[in-house]
Amino acid sequence: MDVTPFAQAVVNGLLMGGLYALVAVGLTIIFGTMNVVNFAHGEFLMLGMFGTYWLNRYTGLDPLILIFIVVPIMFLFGALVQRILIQRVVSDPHETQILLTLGISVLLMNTALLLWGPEPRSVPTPYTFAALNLGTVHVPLPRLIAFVFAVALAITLWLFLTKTDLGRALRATSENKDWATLMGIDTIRMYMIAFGIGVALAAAAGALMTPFFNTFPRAGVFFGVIAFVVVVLGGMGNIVGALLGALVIGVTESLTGQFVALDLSMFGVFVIFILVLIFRPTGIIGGGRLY
Amino acid sequence: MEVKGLRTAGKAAAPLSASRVLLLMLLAAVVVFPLGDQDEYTLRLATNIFYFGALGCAWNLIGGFGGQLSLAHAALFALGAYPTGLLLINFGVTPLIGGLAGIAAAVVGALLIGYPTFRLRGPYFALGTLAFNEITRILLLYFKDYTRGPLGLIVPFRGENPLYLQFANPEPYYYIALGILMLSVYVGYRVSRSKIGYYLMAIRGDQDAAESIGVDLTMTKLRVLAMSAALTGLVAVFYTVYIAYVDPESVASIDLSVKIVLIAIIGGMGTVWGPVLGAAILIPITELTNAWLGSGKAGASLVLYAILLIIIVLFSPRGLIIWLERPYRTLISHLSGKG
Amino acid sequence: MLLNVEGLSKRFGGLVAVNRVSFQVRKGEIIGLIGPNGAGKSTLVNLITNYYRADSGRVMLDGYDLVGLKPNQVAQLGVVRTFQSSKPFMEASVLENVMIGAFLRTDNPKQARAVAMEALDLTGLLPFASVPAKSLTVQNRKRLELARALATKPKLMMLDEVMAGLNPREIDDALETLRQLKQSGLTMLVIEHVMRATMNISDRIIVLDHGEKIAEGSPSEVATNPKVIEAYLGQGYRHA
Repeated sequence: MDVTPFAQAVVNGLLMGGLYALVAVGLTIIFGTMNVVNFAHGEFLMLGMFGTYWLNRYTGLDPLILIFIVVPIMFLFGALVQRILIQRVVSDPHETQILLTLGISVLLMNTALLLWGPEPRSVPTPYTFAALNLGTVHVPLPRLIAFVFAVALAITLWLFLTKTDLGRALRATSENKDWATLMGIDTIRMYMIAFGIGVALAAAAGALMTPFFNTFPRAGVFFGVIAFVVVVLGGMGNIVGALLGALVIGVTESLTGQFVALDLSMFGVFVIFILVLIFRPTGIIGGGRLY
Repeated sequence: MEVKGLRTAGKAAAPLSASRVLLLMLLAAVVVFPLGDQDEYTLRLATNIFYFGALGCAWNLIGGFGGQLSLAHAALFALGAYPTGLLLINFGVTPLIGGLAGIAAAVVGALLIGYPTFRLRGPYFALGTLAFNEITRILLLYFKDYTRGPLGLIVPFRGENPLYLQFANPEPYYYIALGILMLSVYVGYRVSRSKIGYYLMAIRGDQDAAESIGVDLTMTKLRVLAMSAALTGLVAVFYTVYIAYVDPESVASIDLSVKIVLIAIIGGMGTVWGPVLGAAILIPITELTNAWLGSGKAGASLVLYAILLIIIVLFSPRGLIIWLERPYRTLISHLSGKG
Repeated sequence: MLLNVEGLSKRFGGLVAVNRVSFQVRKGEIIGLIGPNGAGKSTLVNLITNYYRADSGRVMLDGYDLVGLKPNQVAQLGVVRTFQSSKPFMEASVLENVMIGAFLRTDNPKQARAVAMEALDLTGLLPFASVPAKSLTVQNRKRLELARALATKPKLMMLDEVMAGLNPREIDDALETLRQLKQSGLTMLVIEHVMRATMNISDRIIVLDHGEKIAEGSPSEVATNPKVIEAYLGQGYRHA
């Protein structure tokens, strides 16, 4: 039996899974730290894409360089959004939070639509069509580079959270807000940083995708939804869960698309989502917060 | 019952109470309106306000009174529209009958969605409904042999035929939509004053306490969801003959779900008249911005919706209708004083 | 005999919260349920109402086993409880809160209202009928819990620390209300830490410690029971 289609689908799935992981980890950090479900997450990814696109148009620099500009800017933007809007609803019922972030989502998406129109744009790079060939499996270079970068970012994040004082303070806040306050940690500042990091990760994923994904205002919707599925699968607030969940979802999507029907690739993902929600809402790996 | 927002018929026994009179006057004005030689555009605008108001009221049953933030109402809408449209186009079944199939499909779909997700608390319910909505849209696109996929269903106009709800003029559609809106408002009113309305209040307040005094959480939510779905399905039947074009992007997308939620929230969720106010504000805004900027700039009205939503959520979470409460009460007491 | 609890047990992970507890409640009695903190009193109430599902044992109400039912079904059958930290429906008025309880026995809003007004009268909350529940004092919130539970016309009412946070005069008021309820035929199980109140009002007392029943009897019997003294004060006081 020719395993190539299978192997190809798995490879594709893993590569995308790496990017899903970035987005999902961002979402789960936000939830883990301040218990907010960020329905606007996909739109921040979209903004990362657009930021990269426009900078590329004006400077001609490669997305892999521009990411170092886009990510810090988006971090600041995220922190700002948190301080001005999200902070007001952190202690409100979750319905209020959902409505607020939904509003932000609609706002961002449609402002982008208004400013830049719905037409998809692409960021040209010299390596857009390059690929490695591992045996019979075709590995597109942009996706591979994006995956590697995503891994590097994840490692950086891990180092930050475990080895730096700020990272530890963040983890303390997400573990137990009241204890963290007692220890002198400024929780509002932590929330701003956490939200900023979450947004920055999503934007980073967006930037990394520009060589092979079209940039348009609605681009974030899909990834936002995937991020939620991954986070639920891995357990809300569970970073490792988000990483593993992302790979599982990436591969599921790819395999469904390959062997069932291309149009139904998302269907398999959603079915898993609903099943997890019904039977294991704390996440397959467990350790997720249930509310 | 203290319904947040406009109080209707506080003194239920007196048929000529001030609030009833006001209501009748409003009704008379709306009924008489088309007879004053209005142009088609205004009538269509009003019709749109009516059916979106009805959708908002329908969502409000489960979202506002029930406190369950459903993002799946577009899916329910699509489940109402597609059977009606398909029966009409493929088999020539009048929507008066085909519509029953649509409504049934919407209710069944709602129960399928509700039963597993009502056990979930917090954002999981909203996420679950989001997933169901997307699944419905994907399936509608996928089974293109049956649903015509992305091309959608076109209901051709073959001349005036009341039995098929086909009218050449906008007036009949105006009245049908108005009727549906009145029904939706009435259902909301009855729910809010009945046992199920009180039980929903308990569920919103504290689910554990509610259960301890006999409230069956799941059954109550399912009942009100079924009502919500039936009304949504009814509006969808109307939409099928009125707009005469049904495709997954316009009837099953998250955009529609969000729009319905916005109408209810901005107007005032959990109140009887809130969603009507929401529609009355948001639909004209869409028209105005489309006219002003050209409908190519479709995002503009949604930007305004979003800003309004954010402002409402942060500063006036009970919606805009509470700002009308004081003037309304002043008006009522003036009328009562004189009557 | 109204309620027959047989061998009720529950463990959470490795911790045994309730261990084979059995007792009976006769119609019209007030049973006091006491024990040191963590003895399992609230858990026991949660088990009887199926807020938690018991691991083993039976709870027979008029011959019908309650274990495995949903909490609202238990209420339907006539067993109702109040919560230790009162859980009013905050946004609703006092009257609406109680009406929700009354709706268990009727579908008619007018009737529910009438029953609710009665319950409010009994608990002295009538002046507060249209006040939002969230603005009530602690004492009145407890009364609201009570009124709401009464409106369900229960056979057995279980009161979880209904006296907690009350000053001595308020406690006397509460005791008086309970006496009146008993006179009207209501059977009650009262969990309390306020000793003099419990001793005062109970016909019989059951003592729990570490999830087990260690004593049962009249208030005076229980007060002099060495095991009970030991449980509360520690072993050194056994012969005090």
